[in-house]
Amino acid sequence: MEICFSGIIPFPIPDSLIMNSQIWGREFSFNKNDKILVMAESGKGKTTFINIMLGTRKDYSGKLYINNRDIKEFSINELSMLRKDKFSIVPQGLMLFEQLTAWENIQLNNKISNFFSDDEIIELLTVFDVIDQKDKKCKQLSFGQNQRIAVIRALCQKYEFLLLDEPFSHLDVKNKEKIWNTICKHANRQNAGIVITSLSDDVNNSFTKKISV
Amino acid sequence: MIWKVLKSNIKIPQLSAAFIGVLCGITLLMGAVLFYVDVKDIFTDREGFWKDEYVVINKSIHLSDSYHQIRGERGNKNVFSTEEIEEIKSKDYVIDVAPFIASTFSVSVHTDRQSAMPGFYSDLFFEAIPDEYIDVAYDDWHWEEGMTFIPIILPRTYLNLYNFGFAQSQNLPQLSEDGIGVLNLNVTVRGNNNRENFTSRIVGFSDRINTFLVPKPFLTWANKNFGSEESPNPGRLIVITNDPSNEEMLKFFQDNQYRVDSNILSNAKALMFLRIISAIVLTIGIIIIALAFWLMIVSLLLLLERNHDNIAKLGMLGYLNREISKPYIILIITLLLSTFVVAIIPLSVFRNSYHNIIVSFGYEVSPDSVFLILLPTLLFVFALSAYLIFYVKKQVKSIMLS
Repeated sequence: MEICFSGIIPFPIPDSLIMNSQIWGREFSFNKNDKILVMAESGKGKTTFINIMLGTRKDYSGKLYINNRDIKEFSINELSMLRKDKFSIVPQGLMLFEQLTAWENIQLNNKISNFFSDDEIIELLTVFDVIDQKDKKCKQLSFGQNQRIAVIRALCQKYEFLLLDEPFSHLDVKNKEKIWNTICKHANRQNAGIVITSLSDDVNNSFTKKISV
Repeated sequence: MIWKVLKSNIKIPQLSAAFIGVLCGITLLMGAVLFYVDVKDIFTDREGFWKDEYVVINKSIHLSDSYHQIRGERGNKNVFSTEEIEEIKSKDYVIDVAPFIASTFSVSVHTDRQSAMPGFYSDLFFEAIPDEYIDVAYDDWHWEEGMTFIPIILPRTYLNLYNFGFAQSQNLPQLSEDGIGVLNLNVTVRGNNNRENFTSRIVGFSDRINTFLVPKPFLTWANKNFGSEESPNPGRLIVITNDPSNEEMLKFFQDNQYRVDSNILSNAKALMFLRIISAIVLTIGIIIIALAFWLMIVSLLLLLERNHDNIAKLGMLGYLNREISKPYIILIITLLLSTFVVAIIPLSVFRNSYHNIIVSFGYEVSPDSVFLILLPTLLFVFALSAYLIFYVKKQVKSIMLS
């Protein structure tokens, strides 16, 4: 799977940002063998970058090609299939269902394709140190705990790209490293690429590309 | 699991109101149509209760007419001219018109001296109409030149008038229809310096024709031989109409000062009121179902709006439109099918309430009519469901794309 940004400029964005960006208004492509770190300060368009890839934002000039096809030509069902089989996402806002328990939130994604068994999910919850929280409603958990639940949910499906929008913003260094390693292990198992946005280059890993927005 | 996400914003009172609304609407609609199907035979049975109506009309007689006729100043009776008859015939609501032929000669009737009945003598008149306009058929109803027997048909009301008025007041015996039928009468016809005696008998009774009827061939022959006029203009007409409640016809009669048999008018008014009431019930049913349908759409719209974020999140996770819409679709189908099933209960009660009345009129209520109504209603429910499903999918898609 190849993703190509071709001269994309989101609306509205200041000219000064376009001048210094390695993405906006440039030709930029990557494939599922890549692990990409997208770095920028707040408000520079990291989430916009992820949302354009997911097809949820269309207010931009230029083209985003997925396997040589403009994403704006995708039907609603094709976009759903893209999110179901090709992309797995940990959005910045997490998008968990507060009225459901942590377990139910994970199963909501896992049930689409019955990707993991219950035991495998319990193992992930244990590794992420949230096993005790599995039957609590997400509205009762801290943002850091919810971040870990959202990552586990994202791992519970087939994907070619894992899109992580500031997934460690509320995690300590020890947890961050443990979770990052687990993410990489699962992504490698699926032979999938990773796109992660971050405020800084603080993830201890080798990326194939590091770009600043 | 999706249902658990989406059901949290369902407001039971709102859905209950929509359910009750649709239930009332469907019950009224089904009730009105079922009633129509059940009584359709009565409306369309031309030999039955609402058969083609035979309307007898005559011109109104005013005091001034009587005055002028008494003084002999104006010879014209209130009769129908050929042009007036043709005008009536030309109307769309008129199937056919036939004149009453009146006798223009003197007629007297008396009983045999040997009769078991007390003797009586009376001057009389005869009228005739074509046989096909008479509501009864009797074997003896026949006359041809040379016959000395004249059959007579009497209005049934006359017999009642005699039995319950005249006979009681004069201490005379009451007569049954069979009894009066065996009574031999002597009829004397006079005119144009001619006189002839006939034997006669009352062969039957009519509910429709309010006169002393004799066969038309006899009256035509008698007017020719004894009458002052061979073909007098008719004073009364019998009109066959396919719709006695036709407002245009009633207005035409009123405008021309034609007087109509009051019973016929009562029937016409009853039929008209029945139609108006049926139309009102049907209209109310349609209005209620439209309002309930609107309420359902508003409820669904509110439900979708309350679940806007949840739907957007599910879309982000990769759930398809049909997967997200599925709980709503199940909700719609369950709700509408439940109203359909529940509506059968009040409908059965309603049907039972009028079933006996229809049967008492001598008509059968076909059990098939229930199936005739259930199938179209089921299709109607499916059509409503299909629209609501289309609407939900459209709204979900719009949220997923927003």
